[in-house]
Amino acid sequence: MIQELTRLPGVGPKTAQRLAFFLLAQPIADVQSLAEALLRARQNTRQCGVCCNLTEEDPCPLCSDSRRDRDAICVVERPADVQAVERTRDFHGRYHVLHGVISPLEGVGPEDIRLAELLRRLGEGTCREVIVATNPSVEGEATAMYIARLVKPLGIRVTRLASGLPAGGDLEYADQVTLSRALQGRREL
Amino acid sequence: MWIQQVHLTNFRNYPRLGLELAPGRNYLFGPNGAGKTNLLEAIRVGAHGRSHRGAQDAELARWGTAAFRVRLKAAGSRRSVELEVTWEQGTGKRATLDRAPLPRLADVLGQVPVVIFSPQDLDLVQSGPVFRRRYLDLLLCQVRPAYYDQWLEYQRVLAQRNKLLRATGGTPPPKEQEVWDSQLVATGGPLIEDRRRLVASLNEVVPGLQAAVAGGREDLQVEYRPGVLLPPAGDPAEAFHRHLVRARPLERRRGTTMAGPHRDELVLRLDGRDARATASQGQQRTVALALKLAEVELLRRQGEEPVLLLDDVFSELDPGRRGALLRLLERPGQTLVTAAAPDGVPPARGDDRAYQVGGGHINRCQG
Repeated sequence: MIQELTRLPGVGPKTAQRLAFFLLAQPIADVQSLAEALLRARQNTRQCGVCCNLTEEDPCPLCSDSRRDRDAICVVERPADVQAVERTRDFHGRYHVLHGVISPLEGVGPEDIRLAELLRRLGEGTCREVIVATNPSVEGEATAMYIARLVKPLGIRVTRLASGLPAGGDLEYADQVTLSRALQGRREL
Repeated sequence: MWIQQVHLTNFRNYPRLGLELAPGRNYLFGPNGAGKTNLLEAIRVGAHGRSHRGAQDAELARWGTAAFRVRLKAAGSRRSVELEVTWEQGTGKRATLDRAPLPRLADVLGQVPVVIFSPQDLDLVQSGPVFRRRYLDLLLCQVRPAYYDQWLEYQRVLAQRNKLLRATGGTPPPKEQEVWDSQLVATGGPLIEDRRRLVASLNEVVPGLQAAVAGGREDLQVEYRPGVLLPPAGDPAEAFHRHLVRARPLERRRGTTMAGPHRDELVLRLDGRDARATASQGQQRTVALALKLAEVELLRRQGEEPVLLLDDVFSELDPGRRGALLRLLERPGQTLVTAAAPDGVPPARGDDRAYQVGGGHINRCQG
């Protein structure tokens, strides 16, 4: 069990051991309901046929929500990123989950992430802007640029999230990278 | 800035050490193998996060132990700092500044400016371009903290691009090639710009320092030769792109990136000729020393006087150059000098301090 647990992200040998001993000390019924919950969640979850987000229904609630705008698609790396953007409640368009970024070092090419699905959606002709919200890492930037090269020729606007200072934060505590990026991306007042 | 105290735990041959230093010149005497270089190495680990000898962390821990600690207390014109670098088997190295953890080890750079000159620095002149790029990079990291992140980004892009070239037999799909080319230019361009500016500042101080150490007989100039063909005019990013396009057949054959700042060279011209090829061993030593003293000068311009660590340099210099170096050391900052024995090294003056090193201890000499 400890070995199985170590495979989870963010769980090292010590945490795995602690979790294992905790579970072993619990009543059988509790462990059973946890096991069943895990199994049920996994069995009932699949990728949405439209946006590739994880969902129990296909298409997912976000894609089938007719109140959401069809003219903007926000492209993210992971399902968790959808939640992050949703929390802002400032975006009313649709999403597309890539499930990864281009990274030759990890053997991930453009055909290994959900780009073909994105292009198919764009072919429907309702989308007028693609907002690329991949992480500001080397691979996230490369993927964003790759998407721009694919999508711009279709006559669709491609934008990238701005990078800058955290709101409500103190300038003095901002890390150097963030601060120098914010300096490069400064705007006219 | 000057280092007031050095505290070591299980570092090299020191089980425990607490050493008080003087703000001026500190002489460390002791036979070979006594641990003089180990002390300078410890200071360098505390100030830069890594050894100047390229040692692995596990080698820095005292034999039979699995952890070490280096703590430096330093005072500057504007502030005092306490830096601590610890290493533990399994968890790696960590750093704290004034007892608060730093997010990354590299964040120690620039807190306590330290320049070390040791016999290995002859590599700066004699060996491959990687040593000279490292010299520029280390200096830039201390002068501009954001440089380190730019450098890391470039290394990552370079690794990705090289992997792509290898994985596709040198012919990646055009769209992917274009993306990584653009990333290489976007992250590499600023490195070239920063290095070019740094070399310009170096040339303001290097000729004077070389003349001072060599007694005014030799002229030293530093020439920056970027690993990208840049015409004197025009957009450098465009030129970088053009070079990448031109290098494609070569990259196909070699399976690796053939243009970019990772191929920069720094040519050291002594009286107009490449010092690597034509200078004598003694001249090369002087050139390396001049570059190190230039590092001191540029760090000083940042506002804090750096600490200069000289590891066994006097024994390698002829009497004329030794005297010249001694005159250069009549500078305001703190200097640590190691030597096997006091002969050949000047008699201690008023506020100089001398120490005897041996057996894992360092004791102040009396008188």
